[in-house]
Amino acid sequence: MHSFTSSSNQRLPHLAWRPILLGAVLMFIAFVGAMELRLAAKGFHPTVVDSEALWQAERARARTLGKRALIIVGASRIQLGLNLEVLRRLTGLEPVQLAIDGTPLLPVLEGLAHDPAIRGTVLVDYYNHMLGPEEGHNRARVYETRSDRSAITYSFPDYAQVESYLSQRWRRMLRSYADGARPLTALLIRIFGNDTPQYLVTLPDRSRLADYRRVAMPAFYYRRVIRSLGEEVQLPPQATHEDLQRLLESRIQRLQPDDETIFMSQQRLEYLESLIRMIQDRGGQVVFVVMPASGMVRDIEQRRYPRPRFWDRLVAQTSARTVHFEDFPALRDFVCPDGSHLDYRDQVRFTAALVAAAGLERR
Amino acid sequence: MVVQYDFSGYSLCAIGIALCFGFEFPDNFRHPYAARGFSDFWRRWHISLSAWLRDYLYVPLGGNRSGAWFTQRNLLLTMLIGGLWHGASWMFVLWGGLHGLYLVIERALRKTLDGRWTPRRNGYADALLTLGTFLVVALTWIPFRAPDWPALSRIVSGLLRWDFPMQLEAMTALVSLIAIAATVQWHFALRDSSLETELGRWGTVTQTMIVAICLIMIFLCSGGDERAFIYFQF
Repeated sequence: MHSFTSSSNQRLPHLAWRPILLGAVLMFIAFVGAMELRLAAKGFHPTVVDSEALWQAERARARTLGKRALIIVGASRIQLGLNLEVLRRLTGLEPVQLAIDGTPLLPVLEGLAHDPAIRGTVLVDYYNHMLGPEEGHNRARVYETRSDRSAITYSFPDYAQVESYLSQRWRRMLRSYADGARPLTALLIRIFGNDTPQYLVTLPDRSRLADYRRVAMPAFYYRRVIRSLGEEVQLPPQATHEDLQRLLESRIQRLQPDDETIFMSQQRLEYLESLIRMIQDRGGQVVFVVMPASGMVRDIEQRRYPRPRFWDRLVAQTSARTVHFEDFPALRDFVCPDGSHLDYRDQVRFTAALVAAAGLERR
Repeated sequence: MVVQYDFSGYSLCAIGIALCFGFEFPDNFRHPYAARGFSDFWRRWHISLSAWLRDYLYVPLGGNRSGAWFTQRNLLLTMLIGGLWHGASWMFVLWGGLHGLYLVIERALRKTLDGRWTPRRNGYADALLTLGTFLVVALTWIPFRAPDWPALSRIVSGLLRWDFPMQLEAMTALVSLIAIAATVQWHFALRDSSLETELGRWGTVTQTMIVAICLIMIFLCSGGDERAFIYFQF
């Protein structure tokens, strides 16, 4: 029988460990300090990391609030667009931010519908193709699936919770982790490269503030338009912004509506309604919101997802309350600097207008 | 490379954590990509498993005590079961079977050539044998990582086509090649040594810098997306 352990300690080399460790720790501190100083000089500051652990903590909180919960589901538009303090004050409810950027709304909505502890108001950031088939790695699905396990609460924290708590505390203090970046990314792109300045800040309640005055416009806006377009755009190096504008406009003119049978089949609408009913049967309510879009991003969405074939069909068939920004004068005039998201300076005004439009005022 | 760094990396973590508590674990990897042949590879790769397979499968099956034919059978069976130990998949059986086959062929070759040629005495032959072993082992990782037969056949046919479109960007391909070459060179240079021995040879300043670089690398690679170690499923 082999013994794989021994209480003797022969394998650790006999070195001058004290000066080695002291010297190494000093060099490490000097390196991290230099990185932090350089990032500070470039205008970066520490932020909360929008991690899964933070999401799970909010998801667990949603269970404890009962009818007082105002749960926000969706993607980046609603995460950047709402001020939770204003929501709290105007609605008298307790906001829980569960939106995850770039993810479909169904996985989280499904999880909430099947969770008997959810009895409050669910505010859903509606985005047309987000109802379509799920593709690839989907964080919303992964998070929501794991949230079932985190429903089991222990009186004593396990190692994962302790590790998560300690690492979050540490990372919130350093610029190297700003916006959830890995320090290696911060070093290569933010220090040595010419990455976009930090325009996004995540708050402890998971809402986000976007300061579009910090980014280089209109290049940033065009990048977002190209991303929304989903096509490769190539121009000669000497091309101007006007050339790019003309090219993008011509591409948008050629766009055809997406197939609503894929993104909004009757079966899918009925399934969505069944989820809404589950929440309503427990005394809760669901509100669908179309967040503002501007410029060419809005043009792209109007061409791809014409209202009569997408949004209006949902409105006609759902028992949930619906708010489209185009239908309310107080919401209509907001301008998204990147075409897709609101600037943090508009958050308070927009949140107040949305509360009024959705009929969520404190009673 | 991923399997090697993933698994030997966390084996090292386990050894280090155990040392902090006063326990001494043996090495689980000893520069396996510098192996001279496949029996040498299995003395260097996942040593805790290969020692277990040897002691509790190969030896009880009869080992090399019952003649040449039974020895070859025992080798093949041990490696097939060793493959299956990694998971209930035909891919693992194929991976184990291939390694069993290599061991059988090597044993037969060694018996034929024994006494007439020893690679250790010839530097070029040694390097060639090491590189050859590495290449075959690396190619044999394909069934280990492929989830099923169609995936396996896609990868293999891709390897055999010259007109296959470039799957990696030039920079990524270059970095991968450098990483592979550096790993093989490192394993080759430290083949008959150990990290502890090498560290002991350097001066205090170098030792301090190495520890500092380790700390800095841990910091640089922390945070961001989390991804479980591939080997945790075993």
